[in-house]
Amino acid sequence: MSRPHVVTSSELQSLRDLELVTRRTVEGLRQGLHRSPFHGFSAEFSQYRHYRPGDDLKHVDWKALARTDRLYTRQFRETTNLSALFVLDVSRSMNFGGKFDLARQVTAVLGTLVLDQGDAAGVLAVDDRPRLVPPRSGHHHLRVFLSQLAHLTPAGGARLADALKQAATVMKRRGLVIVVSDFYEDEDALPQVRRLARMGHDVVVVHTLAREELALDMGGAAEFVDLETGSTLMVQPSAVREGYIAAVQQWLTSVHDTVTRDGMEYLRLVTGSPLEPALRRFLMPRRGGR
Amino acid sequence: MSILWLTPAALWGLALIAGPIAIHLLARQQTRRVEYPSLRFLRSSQLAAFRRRSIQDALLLLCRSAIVMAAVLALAGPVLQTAARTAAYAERVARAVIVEPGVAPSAAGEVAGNAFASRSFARADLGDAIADATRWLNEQPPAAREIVFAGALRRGRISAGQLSAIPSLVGIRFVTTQGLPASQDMTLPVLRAGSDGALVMIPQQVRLSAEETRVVEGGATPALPDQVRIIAAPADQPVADAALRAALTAGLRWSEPSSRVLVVWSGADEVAVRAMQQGATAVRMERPTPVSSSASAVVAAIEQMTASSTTSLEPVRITRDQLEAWSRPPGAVPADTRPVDEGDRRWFWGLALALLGLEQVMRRTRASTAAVPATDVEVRADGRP
Repeated sequence: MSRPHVVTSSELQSLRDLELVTRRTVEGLRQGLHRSPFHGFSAEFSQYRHYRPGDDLKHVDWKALARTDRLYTRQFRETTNLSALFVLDVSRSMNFGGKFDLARQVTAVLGTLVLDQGDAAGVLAVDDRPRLVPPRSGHHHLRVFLSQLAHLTPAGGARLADALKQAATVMKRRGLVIVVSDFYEDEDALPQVRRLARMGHDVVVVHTLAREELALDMGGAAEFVDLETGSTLMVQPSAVREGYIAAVQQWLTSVHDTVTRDGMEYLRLVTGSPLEPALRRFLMPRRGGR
Repeated sequence: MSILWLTPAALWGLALIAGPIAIHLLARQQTRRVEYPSLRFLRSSQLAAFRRRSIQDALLLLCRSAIVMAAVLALAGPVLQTAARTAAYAERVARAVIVEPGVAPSAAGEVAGNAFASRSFARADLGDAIADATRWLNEQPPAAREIVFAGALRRGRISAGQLSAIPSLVGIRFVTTQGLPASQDMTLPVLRAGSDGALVMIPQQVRLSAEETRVVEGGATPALPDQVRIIAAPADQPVADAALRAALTAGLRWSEPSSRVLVVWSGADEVAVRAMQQGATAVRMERPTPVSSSASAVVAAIEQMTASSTTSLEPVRITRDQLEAWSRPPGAVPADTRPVDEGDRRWFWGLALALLGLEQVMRRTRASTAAVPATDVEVRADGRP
């Protein structure tokens, strides 16, 4: 899907910045990840051949051995690569404390990793209308992928749940769905995330948060305006900080437990913390597949 | 109860109250709106703390404004007009004593008595003395006001016209402090036509006493040329000349020997009047009727202009009945009197200090409620809580 688009100088600059940061992070990650952290599901049986020493025993056809008393090794033909779709939350709540930049950066890094290993990556965001880059592979697609990310702004009125519903229709076959959001709409979004997992997708939840919103690190009394709804509340941060932090911690635990209980993977990223070590700790256990 | 101000201009300082209000509004504006991802964890009772803080802020603003106001009011010099104080004002008297020249200061002091405020005025002209006394009384603090005339109270010294210049709320009283002289001597010039028809100026030594008036004439000196002339319509001119001659034959009292007079009857040619005047004082009068009274009419007109009154020189006191008729007690305290410092500003300074202390307490209370220690949150970047 291509549409005419005039790239402004500011957008071009942001794209360059995104590419630069992404490339640097990806290069750093590669030093520790010799094998692909993501694996495709689609492998199709091709033929038998006689077993040769050194073949992986897991590919030996033990039933054929029982019938023929000979060792055969099964050979597979990859029909398709991994298809990864990044569902990015572009609601207004992401426009706080550099949270959206963090979400866009982690999407760009992981997307680049996927594309670099020859798999397909796409991105879906829903603001006033769906903005979709369908999962495709190839080096040229990386530029399209990053360009779409650079154009996204956290000013959407649509809900994350709607984007996830649309992701279920976009991903026809099993693939990797990475949801990047602050999950303030968790009551609506998490059921949709679980639905994607039940459809057989490998789902990764990336929970992006700003450090300020975790600690309510604000000054004096103020009128707080909800970025999503516009509703207001008079708050004295110093007076409510203790209760606020406890409530946020409880919520974080709840989201984490909900995600991991259904077998999905959960990654929490906070602004101000180095991205590369966090991604490395997350991706290392994925080496060698599932 | 009302309040008067010693320095009303200082009340402009109340505009300083705008200072704390502006600071308060600016402070509110600076900390007002914060865009936040979600308010879901900022609910319920936590709002009460802010309300409490807001109320504290409002009370603090009120307190600070009241401090400024109390200080400004103290500087403006408040004078509380209580009922007791108003009654006390009415009890006391500010007394101006107008003494005749020559009255001893001790006598003036005795007349002043135990007045709340008093001052004596001695001027040759009684009208000037009354004006000075009235002006002084207007500047006095709230009190009943009175003017006392002290002296010999000789007839002619005081007139009803002069007393009418005294404000109605000012009381008038008369005190006789000295006796009358047995006699009064004076010199009165008289212009008279001599036996040869030439005008001469004759000084008359006059002695006035309660029993008699004695006149002794001095040596005559020639009068100035054209010292007195008369002009009338051409038809009346002979009668006018005859009247002047008759008057000069009897003699005219002349206050200033060097002054010249031109008597002008109605109907005289104005061009001729201007030509004849030439520095003389013009005395205009109607053509006398009947003609037989022309001489006395001319004398009356000229003496009204030139001669000084001798009634004020008579050594006789003003009658008791007349003095009682002119006397009156002091009226109510005038409403527009200038207030005097009664020390009331100390109450306002005390109030300002008390409010200052209260403001300190409120600030400490506010600081203690706001000082909730922040709790840092450790969130591991790997997402594992």
